[in-house]
Amino acid sequence: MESLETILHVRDLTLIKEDRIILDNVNIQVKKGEVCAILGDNGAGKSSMAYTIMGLSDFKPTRGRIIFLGQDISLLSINERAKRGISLAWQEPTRFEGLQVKDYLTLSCKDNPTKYLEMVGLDGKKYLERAVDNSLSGGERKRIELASILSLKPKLVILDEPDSGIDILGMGYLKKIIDGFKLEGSSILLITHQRDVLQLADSAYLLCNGRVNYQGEAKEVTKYYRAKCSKCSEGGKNNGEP
Amino acid sequence: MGNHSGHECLLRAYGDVGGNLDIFNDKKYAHLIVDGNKVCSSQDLDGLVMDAKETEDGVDIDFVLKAGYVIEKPVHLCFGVVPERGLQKINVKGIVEDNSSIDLMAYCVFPNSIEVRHMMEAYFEVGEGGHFGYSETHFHGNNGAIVNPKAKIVLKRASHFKTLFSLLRGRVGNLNIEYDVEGEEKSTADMTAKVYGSGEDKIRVSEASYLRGKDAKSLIKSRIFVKDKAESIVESKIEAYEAGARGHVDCIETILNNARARAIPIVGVFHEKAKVTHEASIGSVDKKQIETLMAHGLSEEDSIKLIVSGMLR
Repeated sequence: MESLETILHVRDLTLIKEDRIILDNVNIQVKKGEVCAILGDNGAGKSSMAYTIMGLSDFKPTRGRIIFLGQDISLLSINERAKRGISLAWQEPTRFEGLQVKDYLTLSCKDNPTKYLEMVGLDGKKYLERAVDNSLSGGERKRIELASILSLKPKLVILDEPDSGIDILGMGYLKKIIDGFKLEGSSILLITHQRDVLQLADSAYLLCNGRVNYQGEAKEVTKYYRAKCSKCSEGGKNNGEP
Repeated sequence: MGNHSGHECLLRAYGDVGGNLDIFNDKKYAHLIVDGNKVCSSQDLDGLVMDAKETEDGVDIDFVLKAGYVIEKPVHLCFGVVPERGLQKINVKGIVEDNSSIDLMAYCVFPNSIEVRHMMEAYFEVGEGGHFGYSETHFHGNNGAIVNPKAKIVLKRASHFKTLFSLLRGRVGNLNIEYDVEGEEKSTADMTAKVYGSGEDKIRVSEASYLRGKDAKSLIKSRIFVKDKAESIVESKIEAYEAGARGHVDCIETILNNARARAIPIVGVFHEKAKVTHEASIGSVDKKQIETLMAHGLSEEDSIKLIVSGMLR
């Protein structure tokens, strides 16, 4: 039995694609109500882990299990996982020609969409009638994606590099987004390559070459990263050793 | 309004595809209703002269919008064939004189078609500074029809032409659209075709813009979805002959099941200060789009429906 406090338990997860090990026996737990960060350099396997948890078609686990609220969801489809309360905010949100923002924000939620646009710093009236297409900038699409996920009030949200593309607004913006999800009762799995972001997390895992290298409270992981990983990152290496 | 056998059925189908029946009793709207080769009803407006003559297989239509007249409300045209089989030939000559403006909304409905053939041969001329909008909404019932709308459009200096062809409900049958535009200096032509094909439908969209004048502009946009064993081919051609002429071809064809799609963009530039671009995307529904919507709780089927309906909106 899973602890009631554990909302997500990734157990012994291995993902092999085209004979390449992407995730290697990864174990992760996210507690209810917490912000859990996955820190790692480019290519560490962070997004692959996010996609595997969400159940995307090219990311079926080779081994291991994904336990959500005590149930094994490893074989469920994406929308079945979404219905159970998991959702994913993509690093690079897609475009939808002809789909209006107001419709995108009410796909599975009938709340007033303006509220969620304002939570991500957008003027609702200005955006509701716009299409989620290339008439929006990358940063606008990113915020709209986050607003749409907020409107779902997921039990667990996976935020894949939520600050990429809108870096200029920095930490204050990200904190606001995270607070918004907390307000909706969501636990958060925060995927990032920026160690500064760890200050917004409660716990963290350091992922390197598909393996968990270190885990603990966010502060501890930050210290560990500063002490042992900086040189490796600065040198552009990612050889699995801190 | 005249009366005719099948007329009510025609108007019902017109209403079903989005036509507004009230306008046929509103004197502020010009209109023309043609059932087979019968002119059922027509209404002119000040500045707009429409002459419709019945022929053996259809109707010959001449219209002239006099210089300087602006028709504020769209002119509604309804062409249809109610029986399961039949031929309708529509010949149109339309002149939009200098500095005048008109929008035509044509509805072509063949609700019971098993073997209906509808041929349109049109010539439109838009005078200097004029505007001509032409939308054509089709409904071919559940079995499809054989339809060939063919139009030649001549745009004089600084005139504007905008067209939208849409066939989004029911079956297509065999559709062959052929539009050719000749654009003089500073004219703009904006052509869009949206078609949803299924079964064994055959769709050909062939649109061409020849930008003969300086600073003439054109956009040719196609959005085609085909599923089952339907086939589509989109031939878009823009040629630019003078300085400042600009053209863009934007084609998206999406397929499902065993459908087939082809796109043939032809772009030509014959002046060093002219430019024509094209983009085409042909393939199945984008997987990331589907998975994004599924992560919002939608089923795969509903996700595809939403993506396709957005594309064709």
